[in-house]
Amino acid sequence: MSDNATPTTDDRAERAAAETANSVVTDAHAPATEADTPPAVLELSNVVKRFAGETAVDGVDLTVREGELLTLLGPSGCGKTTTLRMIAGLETPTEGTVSVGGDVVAGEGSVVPPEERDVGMVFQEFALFPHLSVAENVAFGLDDPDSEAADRRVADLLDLVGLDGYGDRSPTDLSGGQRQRVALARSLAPEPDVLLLDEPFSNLDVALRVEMREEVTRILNEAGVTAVSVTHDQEEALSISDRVAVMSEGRVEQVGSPASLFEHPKSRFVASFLGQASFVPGRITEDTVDTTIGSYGRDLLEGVTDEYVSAEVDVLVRPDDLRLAPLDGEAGTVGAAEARPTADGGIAAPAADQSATSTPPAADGEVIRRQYTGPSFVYHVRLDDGPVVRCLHNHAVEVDVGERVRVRLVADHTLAWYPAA
Amino acid sequence: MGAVGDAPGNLGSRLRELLGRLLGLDDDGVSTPLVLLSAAVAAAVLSPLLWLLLRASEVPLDEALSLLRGSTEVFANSLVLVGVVTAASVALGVPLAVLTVQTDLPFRRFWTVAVALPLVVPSYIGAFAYVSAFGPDGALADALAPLGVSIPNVYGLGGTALVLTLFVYPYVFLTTRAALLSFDETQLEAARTLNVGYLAAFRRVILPQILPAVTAGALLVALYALSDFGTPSIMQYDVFTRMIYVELNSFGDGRANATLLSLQLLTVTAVVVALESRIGDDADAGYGAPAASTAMISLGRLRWLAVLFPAVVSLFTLALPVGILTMWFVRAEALAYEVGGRAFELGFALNSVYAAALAAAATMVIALPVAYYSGRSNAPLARLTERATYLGYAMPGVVLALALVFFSSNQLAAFFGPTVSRAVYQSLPLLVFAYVVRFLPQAVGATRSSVLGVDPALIGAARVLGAQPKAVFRRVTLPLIAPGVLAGAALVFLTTMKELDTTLILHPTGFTTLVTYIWRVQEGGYYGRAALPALVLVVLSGLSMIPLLVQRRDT
Amino acid sequence: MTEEFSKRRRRLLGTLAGAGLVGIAGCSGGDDTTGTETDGTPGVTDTPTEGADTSGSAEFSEFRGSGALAEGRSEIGGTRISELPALSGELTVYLGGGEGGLYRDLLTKLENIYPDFTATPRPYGTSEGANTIITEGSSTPADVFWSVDAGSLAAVAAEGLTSTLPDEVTDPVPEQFHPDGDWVGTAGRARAIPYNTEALDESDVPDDVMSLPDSDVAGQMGWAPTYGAFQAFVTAMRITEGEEATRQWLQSMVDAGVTEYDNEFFVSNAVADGELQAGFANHYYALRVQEARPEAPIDLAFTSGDAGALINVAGAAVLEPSPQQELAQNFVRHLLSAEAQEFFATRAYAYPMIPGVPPVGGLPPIDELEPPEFDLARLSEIGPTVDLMREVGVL
Repeated sequence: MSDNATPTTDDRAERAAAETANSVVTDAHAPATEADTPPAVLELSNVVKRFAGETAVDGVDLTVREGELLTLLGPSGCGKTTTLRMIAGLETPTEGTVSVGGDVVAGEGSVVPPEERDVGMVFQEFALFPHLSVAENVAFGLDDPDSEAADRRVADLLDLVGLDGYGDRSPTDLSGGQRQRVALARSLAPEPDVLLLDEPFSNLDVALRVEMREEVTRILNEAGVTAVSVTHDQEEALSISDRVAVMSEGRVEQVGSPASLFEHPKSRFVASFLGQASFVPGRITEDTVDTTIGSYGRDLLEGVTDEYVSAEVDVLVRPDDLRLAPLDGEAGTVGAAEARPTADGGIAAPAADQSATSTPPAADGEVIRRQYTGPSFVYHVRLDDGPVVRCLHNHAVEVDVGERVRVRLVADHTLAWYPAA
Repeated sequence: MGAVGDAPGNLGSRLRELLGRLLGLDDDGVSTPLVLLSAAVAAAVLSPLLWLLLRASEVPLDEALSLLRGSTEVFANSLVLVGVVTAASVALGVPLAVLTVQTDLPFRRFWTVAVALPLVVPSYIGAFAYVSAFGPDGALADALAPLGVSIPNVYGLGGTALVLTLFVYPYVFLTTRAALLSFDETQLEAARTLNVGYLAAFRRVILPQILPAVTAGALLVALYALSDFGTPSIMQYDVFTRMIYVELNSFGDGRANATLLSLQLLTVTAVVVALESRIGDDADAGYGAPAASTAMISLGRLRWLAVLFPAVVSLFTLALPVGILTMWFVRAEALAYEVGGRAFELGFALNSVYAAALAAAATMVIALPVAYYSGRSNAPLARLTERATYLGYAMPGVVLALALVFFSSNQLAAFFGPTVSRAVYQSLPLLVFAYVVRFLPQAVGATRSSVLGVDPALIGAARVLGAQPKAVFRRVTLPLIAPGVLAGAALVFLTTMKELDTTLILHPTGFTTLVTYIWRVQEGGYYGRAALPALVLVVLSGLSMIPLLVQRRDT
Repeated sequence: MTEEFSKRRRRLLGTLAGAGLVGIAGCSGGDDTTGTETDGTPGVTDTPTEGADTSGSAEFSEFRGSGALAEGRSEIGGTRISELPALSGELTVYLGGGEGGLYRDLLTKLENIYPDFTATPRPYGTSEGANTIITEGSSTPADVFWSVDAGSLAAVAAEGLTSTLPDEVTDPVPEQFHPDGDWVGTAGRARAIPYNTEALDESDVPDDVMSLPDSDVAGQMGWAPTYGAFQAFVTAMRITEGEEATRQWLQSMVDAGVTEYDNEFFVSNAVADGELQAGFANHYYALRVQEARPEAPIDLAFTSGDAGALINVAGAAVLEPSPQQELAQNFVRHLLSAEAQEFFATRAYAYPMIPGVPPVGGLPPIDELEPPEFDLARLSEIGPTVDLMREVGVL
């Protein structure tokens, strides 16, 4: 939160958000423009929750609009689950208000119990009733679970979640993925205004997790339900959400579409939490920024104005913003082979030009670790000037640990920066 | 020809297969020694039944029939009493468990202890206290009379049921509490987010899942009410056990008649146990179930009103009897009798603790194979051995004790000579054996539920890590079930502390315990002399409640 | 004269109540209800000062009770403990009943006199003790069975488990209290009718137990049908009056609305509390109530010549399987010593079994009561009694 000290951080963020909204291609479900923004279904205003002196949630403001899926993302203990539970009515806010569908359900001196909120919830461990069959579980929240209408609704929902014919099974006989489908169907049955999902995929194995992410997004879309989910898994948050709210220490750090958050994190915390982040120290001049990996045009950085001249900054570089080449003479070849078509145009162009003409915008270092991620490698390189950066490469390049390499910037977008720590 | 040759082998293997299925030998963790051990325990526990059968068979048929016919009324009385006490105990125990486990009741820990504690008050002492307080011209009746409050007659069904309920409902409270603690409370949250309020959720989600535990507690209550003699006799309600008692204390055919009646009582017990096993079939209820995280039900301002419930119960179960005992005590001091043989000695308390500790330890060890076997296997023999242990619990203490007198004196002398019988009869080991027979199901129940709670994957993991089955049991299973085993032992300890009949008949001569002392002075009408030991008994037994109540929730 | 006696007997307890804590003059001066007499100086002569005096009389006072009823005793005769052979060894004594611990006190006192002697008591109910010995048979660990009910002693004797007591043991005791020498009476107790003096006048209690159901009192009475002494009383009635008369008597009492209690102390206590007007109980329970609550409005009435006036005895038997016959017999002799008899008389308010020791404060002497002609050994025939009581629905 060091960036809070910078007076213009907010301006910068606003500008970044506007830019994102206009230029970045976003997920189809994201609200396209302010004009056709759907109505807010859920609103949290300055919500605080204290447990025996410990502040778990420290003034959260959130608005969730009809039909969108918003994910609360953050490390464990950041207050995201508590926030979710306050929305559900399972916890009562110490301060602030929660409104669902325009009605205040908590705050202003009154608390509506969970059963009267029209809020559904899928629990982390699904919380299926072991003494009831699948169909009975799904019918549980319906007004008259034994009616024919209920039977039809249950059949429809089981069909929706792909469990047609599983009605008479016991939940204990189901696999993890199937249980989640039942939990989803059960929570959707009473047609809640808002559906809450608490770490919905954490109990599934990895392969199933990816499959279920798609399934759940499909089901939520088909059901057209407004949803809030909670996760500590950034990949999950980025892949299923229309918007993500990153939380830390009881506060919302930043809210935005996945892309805007990833590319323009407002704080070091958000930057570090979303994807792998390295910070390269630099100094802003009249028209350049001089970093340990070379000097670039000042417009490489997002929203730099003259008042920042001579400021010491840390520039955020992600593994895919950097490339490396062994320092054994083939550097040029490898670098050329590596460069993506887009690397030559757009924002990265000035840097490329510079490299061709004057001092090459690169830095030397030593590979200290090689991380295999399946489709690619991430190399950890300790630059001679100090910082460790990470570079993403496909299998075409293989460099051993301990080899000397040259690292250069290939970013095709503006980079986020923060005042030097 | 080949087929003929094959047949015996086939038959043999089929027999073996059948046997294996009956014994559950294929179940994980079940071995032949375990089965044999469990069967031996069950047989030992059931052995006193032999005496009953032997003696009962001496009753001529027509006399037996007339005896049984003549007993129908008191028999009905007994059943009514059991029904009322069991229902009332559930009505007290379940809501109290819910209040102390699931809500934000003020001073929950305190109330948890307070509402479990009546279990340590022997019901006969409770009955004396109630008669003394509310009987005609009783202390409280006198005190309330000027205020225009008249107390209904404490004698009869009403008073008996009330007193029994007040001092045995903690069985239901404890089992229900354990089940609620291990209940996954996110299910309750799930129900509430599905627009179902707490009361409906309790009925639709919680109750079906804690039902086996409630039933297990209710079973202990029912069996207690069925076999108790002291309370109904003090409260003047004519029940089956009193008829048995009358027969026992007469000469001639009396004892044979008593055994016949006891068999009738045991038949009822068997029916009750069988009924319970239908409801509580896969009961993972007990005393040592693992704790779960908590979601509270906020009572709001009602919480202060809710406090009244445990407070009023405690008033009647603890404050009142202790108050009466104290009153007796003070009066006795004021009268300052010169009493040689009646003086209370600290040694009596030590004797009580010693015998109860031995019984608890022995029961704990003996319960282990039965509990482990029935926890690991659903085979018919496993169920049978577990259920068999309940019969001893339901046998009136007098009947059991007399059976053991017959075996250890008369029969042992006849077969092994007087030296052997003198060594066994009226010895501490025999007394402890009687306690084991009486209270084994309490330990088996608690231990079994812990065994059920052990994830079989852990055992698999230990096996994969190279541990032998015995080592797995010692290093993995035992530490995991230890809390349940301890809770069972604690329960046995405190029931042994207050057990009267068995102790009176089988104690080694000169080995005075708290209850035999209380009985002795009380019988002489010296209530005052009973007060101090009764208070000591309550306090000592109260300490043994600790293992039953700690190791919860915070883990 | 008879009327005079009866009147005196009946007023005995009232006298005691009036006397309150002031010592009264026992049988010699109990007629006056004012309670003002202070003959003797109780504080000096009757308060035992244990261990202070080693003379015979000081030792004797250790056996005598300290209550109001034990004061002003006349000269005591009989064999003194000092005249008996010393006790040495260990005995196991099964107690049937035991007067609320009093018998234990006596054992302790004997142990104090003889350092080498240990008597370990084991408490039972009377029939329970007998039944236990019968069940144990020849392997019984008991040397002596000392029970407050003659029927239980007879039951053990009937199984051949008692050995015959020598004459030197039984001689001091009237013959009716040691039938065949199987056992010997140690103390007697009379059936009586305790009544509440505020609710009833002495004349309201019939003199004949068989006519009780027809009196006005019957509906306000209490009994303890599970209590051994009561069953002994019914047994006596059954044997003396016949089965049919007894059945009718029981039935009439039930019809009149008699209240049931667990034991006869409760019955007496309830009478004192006014919960009952009268009851069936052994005589000493009323005295015990009086000891605890001197103001309690309770008095005793005795019927005459019928089961209601039965005198049952506590007695001791030496068990045949015991390897310590001589010690056990000597022990029984000690129970019949002047000291022990005084002990029973002044502490348990029982009738002494030796002529030299008179009963306490104003109790009519044993030979002035009018018990039925009855062989006490037949009290063991309790089976038919229980059947009868069950038939009527009393049990």
